[in-house]
Amino acid sequence: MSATAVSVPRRAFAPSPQETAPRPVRAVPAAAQRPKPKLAYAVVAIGGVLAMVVVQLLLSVGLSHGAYEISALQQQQQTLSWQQQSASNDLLEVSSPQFIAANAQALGMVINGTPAYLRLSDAAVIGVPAAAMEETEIPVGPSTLVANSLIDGVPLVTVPGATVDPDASATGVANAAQPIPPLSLENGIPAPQTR
Amino acid sequence: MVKHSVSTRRRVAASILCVVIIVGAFVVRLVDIQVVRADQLVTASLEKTSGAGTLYAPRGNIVDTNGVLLAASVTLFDVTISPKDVDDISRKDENGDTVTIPAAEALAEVAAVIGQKPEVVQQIVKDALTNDPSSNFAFLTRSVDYATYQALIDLKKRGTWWIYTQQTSGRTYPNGAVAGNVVGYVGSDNAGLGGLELAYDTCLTGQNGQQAFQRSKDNVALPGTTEITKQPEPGGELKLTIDSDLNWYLQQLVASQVQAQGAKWGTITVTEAKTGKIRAIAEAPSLDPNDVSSTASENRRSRVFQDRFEPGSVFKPLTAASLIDAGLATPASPVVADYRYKPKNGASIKDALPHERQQLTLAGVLQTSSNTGTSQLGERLSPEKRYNYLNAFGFGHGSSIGFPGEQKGVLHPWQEWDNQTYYTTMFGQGVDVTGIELAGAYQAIANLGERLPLTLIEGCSYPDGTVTEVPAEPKAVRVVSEKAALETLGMMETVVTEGFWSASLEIPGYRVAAKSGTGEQIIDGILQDTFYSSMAGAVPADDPEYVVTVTLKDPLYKRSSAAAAPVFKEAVLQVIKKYGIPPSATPGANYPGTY
Repeated sequence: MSATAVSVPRRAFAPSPQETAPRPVRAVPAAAQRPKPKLAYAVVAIGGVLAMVVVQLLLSVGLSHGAYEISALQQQQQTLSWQQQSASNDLLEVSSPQFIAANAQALGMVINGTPAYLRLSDAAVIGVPAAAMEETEIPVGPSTLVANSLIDGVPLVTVPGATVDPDASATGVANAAQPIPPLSLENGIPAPQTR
Repeated sequence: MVKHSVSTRRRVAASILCVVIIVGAFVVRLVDIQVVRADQLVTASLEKTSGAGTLYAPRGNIVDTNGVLLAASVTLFDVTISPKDVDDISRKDENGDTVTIPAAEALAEVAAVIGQKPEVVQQIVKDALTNDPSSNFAFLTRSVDYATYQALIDLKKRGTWWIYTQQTSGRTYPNGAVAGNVVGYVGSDNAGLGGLELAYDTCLTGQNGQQAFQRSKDNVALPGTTEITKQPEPGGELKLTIDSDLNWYLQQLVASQVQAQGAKWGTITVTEAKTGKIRAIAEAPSLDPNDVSSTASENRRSRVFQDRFEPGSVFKPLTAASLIDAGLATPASPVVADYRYKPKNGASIKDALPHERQQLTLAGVLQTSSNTGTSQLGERLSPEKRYNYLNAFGFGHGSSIGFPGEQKGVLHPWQEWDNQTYYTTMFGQGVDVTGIELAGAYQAIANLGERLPLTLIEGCSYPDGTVTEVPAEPKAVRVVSEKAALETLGMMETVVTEGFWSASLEIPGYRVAAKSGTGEQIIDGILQDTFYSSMAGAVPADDPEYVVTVTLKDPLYKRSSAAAAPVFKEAVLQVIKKYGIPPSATPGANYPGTY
């Protein structure tokens, strides 16, 4: 702060010494009698502080109690969600096509090949209906050909006492009852049949 | 007065000295606490008052086109033990009396729960203590399920306090081997190791988050102090175009035939003709990703993407379509087909079986799968143009799916074709293809001449709604004209109605287009006496909706395409039933095979 910058405007407004009249001299007034402090105020103040402390204490007890409750509930929630996951996985496993097929096969069900439709509007049969036969050109293998290790040993619902048995199949292995025919060399070296 | 003031001054001095000493002592202590040992003390205090927790973000699911779970994450538990603390435990029996259980017995209980032999568990404890007598950590077993975890917690409540559990994440495949070879599998660290689990690892992987809080003595978070230091990022859900039900049926079907025919392996694909979406990839033997170790390593891959083979006669319709498209032939184009054909360039072509001279049309050439007929008609198209057509059908390019370890077929440039290859490429010899390339080429025919990139993935969607990895809008590339494609399909119909395997192929009421193939294989320079038996086609033939291909390697009882024909028929039947394709209303093309 520069002295000139401040002093110039102050000089412009300050009254000149000649204009200030001397003040009349007065005696200092006697100090007023201090009133006696009321006890009530002190009681209120201290009581207030105490109340705050107590409320604070209760609050924090409540809060920390709540914290334990939250913690216990969170634990419970987690356990329940694990349980739910475990149960829904079990459900998914028994909903798998392999399990359904195993149950159907245990009942002796076979796959119907030829589709045929009944048109509701005019009761016309579309396609050629035919009965499902056990003998098919491709012998349908056991349901465990398409593996699902999650359902191994799970009891079947259609046949009491039976379970899904993964040992019933041997994938990719030639049927032992039907030996591989020897290759005929009658017409010379076997030629590829490109059809 | 003087005396008094002296004593006062001394007392004041003594007091000041005392104060200075005390303050000095405090200052020294303060500096010691606040400066010298500050870090150590802060760390110690934080250790006692702060806790941290993992916010789990599991690996994303893999679902089929209908949302059926093919792969899901599951919470599992690692079981650990504090070897130094293993000791007798005391527990209350049913009468309320305290009994002491010897350590060995307690360990045996734990072993029974985790499905181990007691000796194994004892050995783990013994080994850990041998290495470090104060050892307080050793894995008993990893990745046990919730039921086992619950049993362990019960044991812990009954006094076995020195076992611990840690939450971890695992993978489950509820449908087992359904599309298993395509879905792939993960390693023990839950990262993708094969198949789409590997290819889309980035999409699927989640990043666990972290939270920090101030804790009470018994490890309970103080209210209002929990702070997430790292947001968890859950993995995305990968949606496939596969239909798991259809895939299962076809797997069961091909596995049955592989077993019945003593074949090495077999595959079936089903592709939507008009979109290029793959609806099924069935393989046998198949991989159960739940139990990878029980599947031989050569059966863990997807053969449709990763195996090459010589296709054989399934190539003939492509040659025929090229000829018609180039305006060089019609289904009625005549050709005199003998058993042998010896072209001027010195090549020698013969048919699979000896036969009399035949007067065939192009349709008849496909119907009887005549190599000599195909060769004579195929000559009309220059090798360069034939190469260009095969190239446009996608051979030698693999797929745009980018399956891990995917192979590409081998189609040599036409300049490298020798005199024999000049002809054999017309009927699928001297070239190698992958199953997916074959499906792609037939998709082009079935989509009336326009080839689309085949897709296996619908997209990867995250919980916040963003979707990534969506395949680009497919750009159709015209390979042959619509007329050429339709006429080729019509000719392929006669394979079903009048060809060698018509008894195994015909479906009453439906128009089906198909072509058989018997691919040769040469191993170590020796022509094998077993073949790749295949069948490829589309349904319905007048306006194809689905493309079906079947390949069997080394069937033993029916060594030709006869092994694949019934599989093809059953697969087409299932597609018809699955998608409710109505019987054909129009009569078949009925091109005459002879003239």
